[in-house]
Formats: sequence, structure tokens, C-alpha cells
Amino acid sequence: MLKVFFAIFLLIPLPVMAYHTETQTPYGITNTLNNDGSITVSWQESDGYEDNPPEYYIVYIGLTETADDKSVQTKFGFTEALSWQSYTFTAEYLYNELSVDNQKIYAKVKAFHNTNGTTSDYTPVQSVLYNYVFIPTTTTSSTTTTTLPKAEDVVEDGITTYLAWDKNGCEHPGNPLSYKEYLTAVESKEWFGYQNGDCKEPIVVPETTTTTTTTTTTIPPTEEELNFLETGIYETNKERADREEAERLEAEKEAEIKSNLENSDIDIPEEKVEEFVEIVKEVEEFVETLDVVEEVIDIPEVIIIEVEEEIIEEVIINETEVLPEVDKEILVEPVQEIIEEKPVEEYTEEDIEIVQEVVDNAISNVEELTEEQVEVVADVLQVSTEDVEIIAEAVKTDEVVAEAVEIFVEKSVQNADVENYTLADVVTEIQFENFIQNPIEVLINFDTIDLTTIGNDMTQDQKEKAQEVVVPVILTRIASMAAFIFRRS
Amino acid sequence: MIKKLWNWFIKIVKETLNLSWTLVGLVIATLTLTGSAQQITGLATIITLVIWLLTISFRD
Repeated sequence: MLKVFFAIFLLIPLPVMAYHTETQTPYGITNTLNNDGSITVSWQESDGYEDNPPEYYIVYIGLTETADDKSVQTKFGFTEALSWQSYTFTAEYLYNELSVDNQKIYAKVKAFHNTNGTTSDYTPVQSVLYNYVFIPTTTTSSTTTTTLPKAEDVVEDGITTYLAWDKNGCEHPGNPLSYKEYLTAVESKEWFGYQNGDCKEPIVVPETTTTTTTTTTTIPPTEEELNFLETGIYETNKERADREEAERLEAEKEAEIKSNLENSDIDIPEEKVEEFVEIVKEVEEFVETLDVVEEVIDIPEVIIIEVEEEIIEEVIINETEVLPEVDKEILVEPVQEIIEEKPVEEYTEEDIEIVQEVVDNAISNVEELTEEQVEVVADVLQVSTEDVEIIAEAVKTDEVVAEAVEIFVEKSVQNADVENYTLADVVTEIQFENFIQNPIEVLINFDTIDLTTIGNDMTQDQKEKAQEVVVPVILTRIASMAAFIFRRS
Repeated sequence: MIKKLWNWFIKIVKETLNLSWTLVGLVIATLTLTGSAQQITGLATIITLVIWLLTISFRD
């Protein structure tokens, strides 16, 4: 029995014996020399049965048995139980640090657990004979300066010959050269000793030479140049004179138009004066382009005057036909701004005149209005857009409606506090005033009556206003008749 | 004859005065209207008034 226990005791591996140590000492250290002159120190890690596994190892080497000349800390620690670890010292390191020369290098290892401050014991020291001859790499730089003698100083021996090359590696045409010839060639700086090259001419990009010849000739300035300096316009004296005359005439014409405008009753905002002037000028230019065929006949002077008057009348008619169209385009926009920005009661006299003028022009040219312009006019008159055309038609035949349209804006401002004050109200007012002045004429003012189109010439707003009056009158009459009959019975 | 005409004149004045409020309404309606509607209303009002006055005796 004791023999069995003893055998078991002997078979139990040493790691088991190490159990419960803090940090185990590495096992089986070896120290070997490699072919490249380096030495490798190897050891086996612990079996893991320890409290503080190694965090790193320190490998010690030296030329004595204590192996403590140099030490290196590894970057690795415990990895796996009983695994092999190693560290290699290069031949250069050994040469520089130990100056080893055919000597034994001793090595040992110790494990460290820095966190808990525990270490293992040193492993046994292992040695290896280092018989490697390490030759360090050295860089030798040597400069040999040979000073050639001058060609004139040498004496030919008639035996030695030399070769010369140019910078591209081309041989001297006289190769082989005598010593004196060689020195002469070298002194010319065009020939050298051996030159590496394939004797090819480098590609030479021809340089572009730009020659600028500046010839300064004093020439008297031309009239165009003089005019350009003065006016900034390149023109001849005649062209300049014509241009200045045209500008003078244009300025005079413009001043005349402005003067006429000031003397007339037309009130146009200052910002629109320039546009007005331009329009008038355009109209005049257009009139000038009209071909007036003049027949030269011997006729009395009186008739000639009549013809001239007719032409003037034509011109006036043309101007009055063209101007409203243009004015309409100019003035609809400010009217829209006035309508959007101001309530009716805040209209100034100027606003009233502008809006009224636009409405009058729009109603008289309703066929040419855009949808947007029709909406603006409808907004002003407080009617639907469809009614604008009806009003435009009514204006042509009904003086009362025409007058109502003319004074609507003014009346609208005066009755700003009246709810839903429309063109129909203005029409009623005018008709009432006319009725007061001449009742019979109002009631007996019959034109051709077309029963099929009755009411078509009334705006929707007018119809509604009429219903509001007529229906109560009829109902009141019926009620009064019923009351009368009731009383008599 | 003159007396008869005078009496008839007095009658139509009285009848017209009786129709004062109605006529006022119709006149206002006429003034409210425009165009052919106004003309027809005015014409109808006058014709009806004339017929009304001419038929006083008949209606009595």
C-alpha cells in the first residue's frame, strides 16, 4: 500500500505541486543560438494553478552565470497553461550590448504579476556558447581627387593611349587619344573620361522665340478719336452734329409736351409724366409715318386750308383713339394698389380721380380688358365680373347709367358708411334726382322696347335691388286691399 | 257737360290720392330699375293708372 502511494506521489506532475502558489516560476527554460547570430530563450508557461498569473516576464542575459548583465521585459504575459513562450535577442543587440566574442551567454526568466505585486522565482540559468562572428554594417565614403596635369606640361611617351567621351556617352572621334590629346580634350570641357550613356542626342524642344517689335509712330488723332475723347462716342464731326441736333429737338419736344401737360386739365402723377411723354412722342412718330398723299393742283388757297384742317382733325382723332388704351394699361395697376391698400372711406381726392378715370376708360374699352382688369373694375363698382360687360353696354344707351359710372367712385366714398352700396344705388339716386326735376320725362321716356330681352340689360345687382323694392310694394298693396274689403264687409 | 267732367276730374283726383302709396311704390320701383325693365314698369304703371281712372264709373 505504501508502495502504491509512493508511486502516485512520484507520478504526480510538478505543476500540481505548485498549486496555491501566488505566481508560478516558468518551466523548462532553454537557450539556443540561431544561424543568424541571434539567441532565443524559451520557456513553458505555468499550468494555471496559481493566484496571480504572470502579467509579463523579464528575460535576463549575461556573460556570467548570474545572467544579470542585461534584461528585457516582454510585452506578453500568461496566455495558455503549459504553452511555450520565447524571446529572441538579435545578433546586433548582443554585439552592441554584451560585446560578446566567442563566449557563453547565460539566460534566466522571471514572471511578474505587477497588479498584486507578486513575482515568481528565477528559472534555472541556461547557457549557450556564442561562437557567431557578427560583422556590423559600416558605410565608407571615400573621395579621390585626381588633379590632371595641364596638356602643355606633359610629354608624350608614344605608348599610353586614352579614351574620351562626350556628355552623351559618345566616343571622341579621335579615340584612342594620346595623353596630350586626351588632356586637351578634357580641358575643352566638352570631353570627359568615361561617360555612361547610349550616345543619343536628347530631344531638344526648340524654343519659341517671340519677337515683339513696337513701333511708335506719332499720328495726329482723327476726328473720330477726338470726338470719342470728348463725348465717349466714336463718330465723325458730321455724325456728332446730326446727333446733337436730334437730341436738341427731342429735348425741345419733350419740354413742349410737359408744358402742354401742365397747361391741360389732365392730372397725372409725377412718376407717370415720363411715360406719358414717351407715349405722346411715340404717337407723334406714328403720325409722322402716315403717308399723306398730297396732290399738287392749282386750287384756291381756301381749299388748301380746309385740307390742312382735315389732316389736323385726323391727327387729333388718332391721338384720342390711342391714348385711352395706353392710359388704361398705365393706370389699372395703381388702381389695384389703391383698392387693396385702402378702404373706400380713406380715398383721397387724387385716388378718387385716378380710380374714376380708370373705371371710365375700362368701361368704354371693356372688350380689350383682360380678366384681371375686369375683376379690378368689378371690385370698384361692387358688381360681379359678368355685370361689367352689361354695364358697358348700358352706358352706350342709358345716360343715367353712364352718369352713374362717371360719379360712382365719388358717391361710393361719400356713402362709405352705407352697407352694400353699389352702382345700382347710384343709378337710383340719379334717376330720383331726374324725377324730381322732371317727373313726366322720367316716366315717359320710351325707346324701342323689346319684350324678349327685358331685364337682360340689367346687372344682377340692379335686379336684386329692384326686387327688394317692387315685391314689398305689391305685397303691401295686396294687404291694404284685403284690409279695405274686410272693413267694408 | 263741364260739370260732369269736373266731377269726373274730382273723382280721379280722389282715386289717385287713394292710390298714393301704391304709386309711390311703383315710382320708386321704376326709378330703381334701368333699361327696358324700367321702361316697361313705367309704361305699365301709367297705362294701368289711366285704365283705372277711366273705369271708375264702371267699377262703381
